[in-house]
Amino acid sequence: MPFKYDIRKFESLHERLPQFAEITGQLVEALGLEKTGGRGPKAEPASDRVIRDYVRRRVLSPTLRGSGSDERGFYGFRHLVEFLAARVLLNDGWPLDKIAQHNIGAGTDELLALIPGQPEENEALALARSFRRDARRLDQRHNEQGALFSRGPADAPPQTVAAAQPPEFSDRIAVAARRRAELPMLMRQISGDGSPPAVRNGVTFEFGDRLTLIIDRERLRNITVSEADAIGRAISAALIDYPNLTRGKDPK
Amino acid sequence: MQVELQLCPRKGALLLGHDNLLEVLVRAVGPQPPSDAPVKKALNLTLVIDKSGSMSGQPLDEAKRCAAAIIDRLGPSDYISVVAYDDQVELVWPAQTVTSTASVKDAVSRIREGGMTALHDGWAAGAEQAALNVGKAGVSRVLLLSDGGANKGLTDPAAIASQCAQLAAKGIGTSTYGLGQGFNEDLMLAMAKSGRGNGYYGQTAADLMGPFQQEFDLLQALYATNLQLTLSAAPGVKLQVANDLEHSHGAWRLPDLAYGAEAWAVVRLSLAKSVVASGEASPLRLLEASLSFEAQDGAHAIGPISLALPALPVAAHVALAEDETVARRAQEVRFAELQRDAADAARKEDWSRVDEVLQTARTEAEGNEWLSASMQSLERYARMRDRQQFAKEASFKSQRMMTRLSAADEFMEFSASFEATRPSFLRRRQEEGKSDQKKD
Repeated sequence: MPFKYDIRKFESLHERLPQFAEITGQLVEALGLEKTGGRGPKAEPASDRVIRDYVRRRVLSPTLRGSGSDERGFYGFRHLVEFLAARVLLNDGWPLDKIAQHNIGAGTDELLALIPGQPEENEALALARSFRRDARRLDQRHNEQGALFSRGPADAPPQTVAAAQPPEFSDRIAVAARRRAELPMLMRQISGDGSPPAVRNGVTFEFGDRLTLIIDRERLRNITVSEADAIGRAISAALIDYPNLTRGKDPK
Repeated sequence: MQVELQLCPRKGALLLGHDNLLEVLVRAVGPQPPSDAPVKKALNLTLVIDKSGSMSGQPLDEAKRCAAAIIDRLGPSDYISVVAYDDQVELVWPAQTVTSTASVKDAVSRIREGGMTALHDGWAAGAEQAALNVGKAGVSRVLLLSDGGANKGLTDPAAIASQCAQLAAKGIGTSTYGLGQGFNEDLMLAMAKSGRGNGYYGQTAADLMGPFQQEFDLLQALYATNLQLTLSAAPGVKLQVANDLEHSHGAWRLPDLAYGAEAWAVVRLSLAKSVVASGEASPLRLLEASLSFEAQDGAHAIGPISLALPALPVAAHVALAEDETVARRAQEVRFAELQRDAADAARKEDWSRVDEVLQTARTEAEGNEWLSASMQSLERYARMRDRQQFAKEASFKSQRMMTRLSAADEFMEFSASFEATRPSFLRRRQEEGKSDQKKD
């Protein structure tokens, strides 16, 4: 995975809403996070309105306060990471309230790990971060148990879906979300554009152990006798002319 | 330039027709420092400083002074990060190369004391900082200082030690510094042992500087790491490695090796008399050893080398002189085993058992000036029935004797003033928890 979209270079980000929306929009595009298919509806592009809405829904943290009498908020690196991680999860079909719940409880590094195109962690770093993540979860469990104990079981709040799931489950679905989000960028590397891979349903014919033939199911449905005959002759010609077809390179 | 692997028997022959117990010293001798180029590999250090309430005042001031001394010795190619912790973790200085020691020291000087001791959180945060640059430096290590036990977050010593071992396997060691009487020596020693680092302690804050300098000197002089010793006894020969070394995948892990130093282990071989029924004519094969290690120029493997000895009748066997060095190291290891037993007894407040073990240790130490000198503090703490101090000194001394590097030219005699002329990591100390300068 290339490092050219490493968003850590925005670590000192401190911008007003319009500039933040512009940067965010550019990064969504650069990281291939515009939805091109798959589950759920297409997310709206980053804009002042969308960002304000995300803050209101707690998908993004509250804005940073300005100094003195300036009460307009600023947006920093954490907001950027929250937005991009939210976009990954949104593209993956997560509802915004669940994303908010996820973002609030996650460390910045955990959110960064969701975003495609970031430098891969070395093994030691991944291990050290997993120790810290596990420790945070242990603390959260202790705090929750303490809170439940102090309130008494009768008025314990109902557990949300995310809270009821074991942390390993959350990890797995988050990893799956990241993998899916990487697809446009990887396709760009492989094929030159970010279009998703073509999916075809094929029918396989096995002629003993001599020949395996895969034909597109739709084409097979409408195939004519003359087309089938032409395919058969093309196979014959190709087999006979095999040395020329491989330009003299005999595959091992 | 290479490591030399040697097998040195305590006696040069077996006793014919008798059961035999033979001690063999396995020595991995490092090369002398090269004269044409400075011995310097980039260090990647994270200082993790306990700033819990109990550290307020002189202990925290002294910890900061030690940190500043370490920072002062770093060069522009080294990486440093500083983490302070109480019940919260504070990233005092994120991992980066040392461009300005003054800036790092200034950040350290601003550390203020706080609340409880989330030791594991602090260590894990330090580990994360070290991991950021693990591939860029020759040695990566977390140096953890605490005056207490882990009382917040993950507190299970076995679980924490297991994480230290996992991190060490990824190239980041952990060395620990216990301060005062309240820290958990089992936890700190287990972290250091599992983390493939070193465990130190200081009775007072002023005793901490020496161990910090010692670790730094060692890291700067390291020649080889990840020394894996494989031993194979001949049929009919039983072997036991006497030193308390990590043993996994069929290999014993020797301490990291510095230039001009020797890592070693005492191996006890036992043979039934039926196995030593012959051997006058041709030597009996006893032991094979191989060593693998990593140096700056890559991975290396030595051996196997083998040890074969003749079997001699009683008179000839008695006439053979013992190898003094082997006898002395074997004596050290037995002394270390006794100290470990005594520490366990002290923790249970079983002072009659402590006295009994010390009596045996006193006999064991006869003729060995260093061991005799080491007895003094142990006997003093035992007389005072000072459980904390006795258990700490005995535990750390035992661990040190089991895993220490020795100078290639170490003398039988012990003199504190002469030891002071050696590199700090090769010095034999009278008392582990006290600075050599301020013995009472």
